[in-house]
Amino acid sequence: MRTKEPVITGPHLCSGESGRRILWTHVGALWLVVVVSTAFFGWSAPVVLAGTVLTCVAVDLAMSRLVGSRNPASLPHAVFMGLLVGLTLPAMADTSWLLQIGVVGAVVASLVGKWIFGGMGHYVWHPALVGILAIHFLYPAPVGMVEQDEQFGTPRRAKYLLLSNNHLFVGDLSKSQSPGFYQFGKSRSGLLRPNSYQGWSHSVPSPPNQTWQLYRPVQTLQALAKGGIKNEEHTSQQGFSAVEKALYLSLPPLADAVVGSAGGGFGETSVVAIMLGGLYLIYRGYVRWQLPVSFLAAAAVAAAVLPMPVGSGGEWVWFPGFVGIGQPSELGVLPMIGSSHWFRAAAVGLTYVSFHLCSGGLMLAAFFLANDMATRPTRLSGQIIFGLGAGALTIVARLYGGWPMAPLGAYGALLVMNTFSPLIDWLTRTKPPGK
Amino acid sequence: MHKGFPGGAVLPDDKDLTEGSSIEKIPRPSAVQIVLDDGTNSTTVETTVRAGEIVARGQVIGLPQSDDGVAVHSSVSGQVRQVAESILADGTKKQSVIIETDDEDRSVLSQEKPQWKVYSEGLIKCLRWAGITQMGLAGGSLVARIRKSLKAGLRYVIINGVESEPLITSEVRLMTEHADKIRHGCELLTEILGLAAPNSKSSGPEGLFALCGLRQQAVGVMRNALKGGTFRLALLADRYPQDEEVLLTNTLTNSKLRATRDPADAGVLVINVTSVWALSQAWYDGEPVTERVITVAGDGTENTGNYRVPIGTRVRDIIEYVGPLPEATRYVLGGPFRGWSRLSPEGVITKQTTGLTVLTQAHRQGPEACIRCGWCIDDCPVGIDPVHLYRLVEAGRIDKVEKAWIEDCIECGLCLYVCPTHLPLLERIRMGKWALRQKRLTRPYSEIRD
Ligand code: SF4
Ligand code: SF4
Repeated sequence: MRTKEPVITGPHLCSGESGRRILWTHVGALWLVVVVSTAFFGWSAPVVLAGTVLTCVAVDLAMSRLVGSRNPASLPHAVFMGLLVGLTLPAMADTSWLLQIGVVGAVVASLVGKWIFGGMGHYVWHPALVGILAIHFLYPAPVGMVEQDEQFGTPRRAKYLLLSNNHLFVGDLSKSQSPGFYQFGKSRSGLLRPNSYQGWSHSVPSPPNQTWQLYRPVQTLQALAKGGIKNEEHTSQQGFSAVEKALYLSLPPLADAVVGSAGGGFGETSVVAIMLGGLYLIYRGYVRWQLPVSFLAAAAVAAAVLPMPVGSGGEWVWFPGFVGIGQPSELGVLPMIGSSHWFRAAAVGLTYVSFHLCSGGLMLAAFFLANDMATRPTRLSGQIIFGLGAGALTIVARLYGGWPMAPLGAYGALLVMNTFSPLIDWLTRTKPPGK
Repeated sequence: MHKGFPGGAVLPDDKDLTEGSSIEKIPRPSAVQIVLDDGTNSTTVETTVRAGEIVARGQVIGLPQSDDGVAVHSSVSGQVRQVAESILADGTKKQSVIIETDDEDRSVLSQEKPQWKVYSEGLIKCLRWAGITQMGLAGGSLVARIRKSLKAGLRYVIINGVESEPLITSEVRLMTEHADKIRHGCELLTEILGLAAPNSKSSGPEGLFALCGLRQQAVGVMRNALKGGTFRLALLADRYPQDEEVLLTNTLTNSKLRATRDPADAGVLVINVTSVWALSQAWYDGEPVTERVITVAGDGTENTGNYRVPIGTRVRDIIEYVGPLPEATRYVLGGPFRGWSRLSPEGVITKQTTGLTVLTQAHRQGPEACIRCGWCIDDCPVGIDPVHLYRLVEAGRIDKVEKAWIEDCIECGLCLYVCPTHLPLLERIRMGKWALRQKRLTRPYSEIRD
């Protein structure tokens, strides 16, 4: 009766969750995104993804061995990070070049993003975002913006986002073919029906090595905000405003942007696939719905309320199409509320906001990158603040830029918010009742 | 939607396994080991028997030394074999009396049936005579609670039948089968404590009967039993750990008590259903506490169910009766969350044991590094940050744990249950609490004064 037997304290049951299970589920939630990216961008997608994933896993195994850490969740975590780095790379024809970039990004993500801080759960910035940031500074061209074309004079290798010539061709790509903001307005019919348009489900008939340039829809919006799209055609109210021109002529149909046959990173384009994966994570309880929803809501509201500069003369449009400051007739901005063009103005505004939400990695960031467990705030209220901040910052970065990470859009915004996570945690800390 | 509290979790509690099985009596065990515990923690109990003495059921074998203590009775008739110190399930040492049962079921109960006066001192006398403590998870002295709450000005009397511990259904069964007795106990409390009738303008403490809204059968029975009485049925959400006294008080009275406070100090008297049942038995039938109902549950035994066992029954005897599975490795006194376990069936049933959970394996795996999922923080019913406390204790920063509200932890175990990396959060918090107490004890006098 006086044995020195250990006393075991409760709880004697466990919920059955494990870090491994959580992270493999995250990886699994991405499978549709991977499949869709393969369908749209050809075999270069799986090749590049395999490269980034294997690199991350290799670095991870080596570092675990070196540090002597035996966390079974670290492996799926590395797979997940590798996938995210790969999925944010721009789809390009030159697979080997892209693979090279991806591997460098994955090494940085794993080493600098994760292991310098001490591995799982200890890092401050999302490792995949750190990798993306490194790619952005090491190789400005692929994720870079339109104006760099003019900057460098000659098109550089792997500069454009492309549909390579071995992909499954779906969707109405006619308007995505080439942005060519400068040529618009001369012959609209020609623009709407380029010779090469083949309709749905045709493979691209192309001579070898011919590729189509695909711009991110968000790049068009940015060009618009920078005054890159001008209205030369008309001064009458029946004509298009600059915003409408961008929406109708330079952007792919919204449906294409939702399905994913638009320009962008491998895994960024398909809103449907990303949402399905994200909803599955929410269903499993690994992600709180409030975080992506607050992220998207803040982005939508910011896109709607932030004034956008149009033209070079310092003119602005507010909720694009509703109210213009400057000289409306010159800019072709639609008249104010109350006139007969109210519905048209509303349609323009809503389409504009939808394009902001559906392109440029915002969806991927909201559903898969924002809720990384170590870099988001832990409490619900903190997560909502985090989401709101990231969403608003994304749109600010897109419209005004001006800070170093602004060209990264949603990713840059997330990196900034990651920095503030501990502060948000501290601000939202709870107290026991009665204190 | 029933009322609840922030935090906590809805657990897969598997109560339906035992909820329907009626209370069964187990055959008389060959020996019992009665812990000399008067309900208060600090004082010793004076033994009135010596080894070799013949005792009868209901005979007093231990007398309390303090005002708040209660008497300890023999739960069987037999011969005292030994009075010795033994280690309890939670690792503490207490004097206990080991009695070998004999076949004559002698009882002292029929000989004397005391009468008490219907006022609060009478109630306290009855409780002390019959050995009634808080016969639930919280344990502790009921007498002290009544005294404190009367002193603070009684505002609420809450009868706690929530029982949110998974697997355990002993109180649900007790209410279903002995609703009459519990009603009598309620009426008695009404009379003695002067409870105000519901919807009446008269001032007086309010009576609440708290139940989990999900336990339909017990709710139905109690609703009928309480009809026309002063106790109002309060149905609560199925959230663990709603049955903790402070949480229950905060939920039902819309107050914000700190978890370190005793609700009795705020004029809220929380009484377990089992104690009400025991009170009714003592007052009307003159029977002291010699038995209680426990739930035998878990995957380590086939005959799960509710059993009425003498106080002091050894876990070994119960296991032998219900049929052990060879795989059983853990014998948890209490429920799977707040119970204490041993690797062998050495424990004994005390007045506050609500159940016996037999498990076949350790469900917890080796700890991994925290992945900062934040689940422990979300689910903590008192809103503290368990993983922060874990880190502080690991780092030995006992100077900081007080500011991180370590004392507010009610040791419900939820943080450890939900943690996907199986970090021993609660163990470290307990260690931190202990270290904090040690530190307080050794603090210089000048520091204590302010
Ligand atoms: S055991 Fe303590 S810290 Fe953990 S959830 Fe319960 S009250 Fe919170
Ligand atoms: S539940 Fe476990 S893994 Fe999650 S934050 Fe708490 S301690 Fe870390």
